[in-house]
Amino acid sequence: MNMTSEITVAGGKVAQACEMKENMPDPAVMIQVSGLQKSFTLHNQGGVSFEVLKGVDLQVDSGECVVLHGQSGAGKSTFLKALYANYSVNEGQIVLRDGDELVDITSAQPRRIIALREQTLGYVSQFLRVIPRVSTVDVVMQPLLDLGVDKGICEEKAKTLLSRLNVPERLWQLAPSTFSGGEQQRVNIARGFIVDYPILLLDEPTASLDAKNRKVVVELIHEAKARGAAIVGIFHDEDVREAVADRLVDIRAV
Amino acid sequence: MSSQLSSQLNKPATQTAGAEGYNFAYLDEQSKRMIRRAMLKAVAIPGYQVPFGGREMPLPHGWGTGGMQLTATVIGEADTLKVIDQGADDTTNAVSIRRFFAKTAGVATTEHTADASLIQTRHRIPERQLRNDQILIYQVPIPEPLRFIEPRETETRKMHALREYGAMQVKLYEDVARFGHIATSYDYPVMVNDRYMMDPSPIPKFDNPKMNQMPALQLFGAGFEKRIYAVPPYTRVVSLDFDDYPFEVQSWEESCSICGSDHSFLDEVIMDDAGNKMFVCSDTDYCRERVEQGFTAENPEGQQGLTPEHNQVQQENKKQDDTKAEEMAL
Amino acid sequence: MNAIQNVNGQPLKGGKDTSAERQAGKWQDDAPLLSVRDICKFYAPGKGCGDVSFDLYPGEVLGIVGESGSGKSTLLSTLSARLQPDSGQVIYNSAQFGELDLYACDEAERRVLMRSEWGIVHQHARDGLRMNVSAGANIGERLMAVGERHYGSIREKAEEWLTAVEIDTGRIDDRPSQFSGGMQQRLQIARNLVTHPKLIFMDEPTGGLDVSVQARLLDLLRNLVSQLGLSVIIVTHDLAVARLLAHRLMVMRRGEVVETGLTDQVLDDPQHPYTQLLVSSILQN
Repeated sequence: MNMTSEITVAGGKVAQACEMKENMPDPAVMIQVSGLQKSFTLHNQGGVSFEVLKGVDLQVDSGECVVLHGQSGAGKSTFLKALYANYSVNEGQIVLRDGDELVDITSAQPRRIIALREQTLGYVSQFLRVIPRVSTVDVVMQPLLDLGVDKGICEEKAKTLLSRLNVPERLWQLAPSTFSGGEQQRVNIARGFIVDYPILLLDEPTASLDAKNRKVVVELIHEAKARGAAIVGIFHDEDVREAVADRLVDIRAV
Repeated sequence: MSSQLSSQLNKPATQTAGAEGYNFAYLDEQSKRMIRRAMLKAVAIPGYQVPFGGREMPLPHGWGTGGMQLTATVIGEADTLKVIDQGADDTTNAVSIRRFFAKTAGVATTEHTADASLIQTRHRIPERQLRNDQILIYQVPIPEPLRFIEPRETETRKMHALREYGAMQVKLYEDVARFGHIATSYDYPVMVNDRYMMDPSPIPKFDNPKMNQMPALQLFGAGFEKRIYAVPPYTRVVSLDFDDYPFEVQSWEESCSICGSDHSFLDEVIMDDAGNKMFVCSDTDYCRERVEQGFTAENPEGQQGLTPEHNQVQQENKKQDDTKAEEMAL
Repeated sequence: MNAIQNVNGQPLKGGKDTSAERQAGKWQDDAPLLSVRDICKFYAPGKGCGDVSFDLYPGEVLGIVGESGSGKSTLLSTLSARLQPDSGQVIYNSAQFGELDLYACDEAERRVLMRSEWGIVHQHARDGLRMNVSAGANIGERLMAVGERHYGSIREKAEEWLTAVEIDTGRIDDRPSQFSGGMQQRLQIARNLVTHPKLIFMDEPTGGLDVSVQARLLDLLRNLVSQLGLSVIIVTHDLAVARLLAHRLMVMRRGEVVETGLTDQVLDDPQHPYTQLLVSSILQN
């Protein structure tokens, strides 16, 4: 209950904060999902509509790693994308903690979500969205650079991550568009871990990585947990899942 | 038709001189009134281009019809007219226009700048400083200084109205970029009374400083584009430039081969097929006057032991200069 | 790039909105730069745009997408004070004049905005460039228009901006007609950015360019937009361009806005039938 004062510090800017405080009073709670419902309607295919998520509730605390499981097509990935505001939802709330503020991303303005993604909310998928002409090292350090961190520090951190993930140094100054799938994936992971996001969403980052690199990713996740990040992930590899998960949450197909 | 007829009927009885069958100075009185109104507006808003209903003159556009309409409008029986073309009184265009008014208005004409009350000019300002009882009328081919950068008339009018003259500077920028200095040597844009950008007609930029605070009234007429603009006596006229590339006028290493002048605008004249050339004053009257005063190419400082005639000319000049000084002081 | 100064004379890099505090407070900056209320402009039923309202905040990039004839360009013209709408208001928060109702204010103020706080990048470079004067003069014109009268410093700034848009400074005295399409487009961008505008309107800036040239231009635009903290309204029919540049999207069809939202949300989880059709029509690679 001592949270109330902290929320007030946020300065009454966000009306949601006041509404939220009863739901999420504990400063350790980073993610609070309640009553989430999501369905897709395919207007151009006869208006078919199917429900993917229904009545999903989830709470994730700081320093906790929650792994989603359930069979393929159960909506794990949809849920993760909804947490990133990449997918909209039909019903329910997704409240994320951004410092002293609580933000319901199902109703927040786009620029609020963008600000949240820049500093608080990280997302790593297995696919790298390649930006033409930009070198690997620049791709990796861009999110940190965007926060106004000194370029030298960004570059240093990017190189450390790339070498930990065994991306050969000769590739660093090349644009990753011509890299192999595995190399691109590791570049993407480096990019996802360059900022110490308080909330981290991992969508099968280890898929098709070899054991050596999977181990590195596990280390990175442990480090993120140690600094207090709340992590939600999807992992198909049993070993990774067991190494990182504090809790398994079943997302069932409706 | 009817306006022509009525102007014939309204022809003032006093204006008897001139060719039979024409109104005094060719133009009918209604047209003159219309042009006078436009002129008054032009004088009231220095540098602003006033549209007017340009009339057909008995010679083609481009031969000075704009200037002629202004001259026809302001000329009176007591006036003495001088017409110059590129500084010379004896070129075809100048001679034709001078004869035209001698015939249609019966006015006195002169080649002497000092004796003229009205001077119509193409492409020059006389070297001798003009007085405030004289009027200088320019023939203008393209009145819009912004035309080269903005082809739309609606847009240039707006630019004038809102004083958006940055684009004009582009022309000078291009000069410096290409030639290392502002190479525009005639038609050099000026700012009038700190308000309107004006095209001074294709006079050499050598003449631009003469426009500033000139005692004489300056009228500009563009016949083809039907525009009149004016610079009233003693008005500030500033040539555009850059802070680091200030406005400069042309200068010559040579001096006039006839009068020895080293301070007037010189024309280069090719003498033969071998490419030999000489430089002479573009202002023929000024050159003649200097020769009469005893200046020659051999004696550019002037001769000693002048004839009484020379003394008289010099005294006149001096008197004129004194009057000028008084006027300036006022 | 380092040498470029912002309006206050600070170096570009230091002056950009990327300091951590600024970044943190960015979204909270409550005053919108541009407020659009119920804009309508129809040439004929279904031709034009109707009932458009939105706020654009400092540093935001808004993409307007839709097929040809959907009213995108009409909307852009009304937003950028070039086409009087039938009804509605566009209010711009000007650094010089305060809040300006674009179609109720003095035309003089509007024109000052156009050459100082705003930039317009046209689809066809020849609409946005003076083809008969040099590249340097094209960049310098806006500087001269706001009162710069020192040739040396105009030239210096022109060179800096040529470098910033990756054009060899040796081409400074060449005319845009001697440039390739991509270079012309980059020159147009430099010409607009030289007075450090706050808001840029772009109409299909990559239209008509080769794919390789497009990529380079997009990368350049993306960097400049984030480095200079520009607000941008960009009209494009190319969803890949929209994804790369825009923070959020407005999808238009037959003059109406059918869907708005965060760019990746609109593209990855489109709700409206038309948006779904548009997204599903993209070739996958």
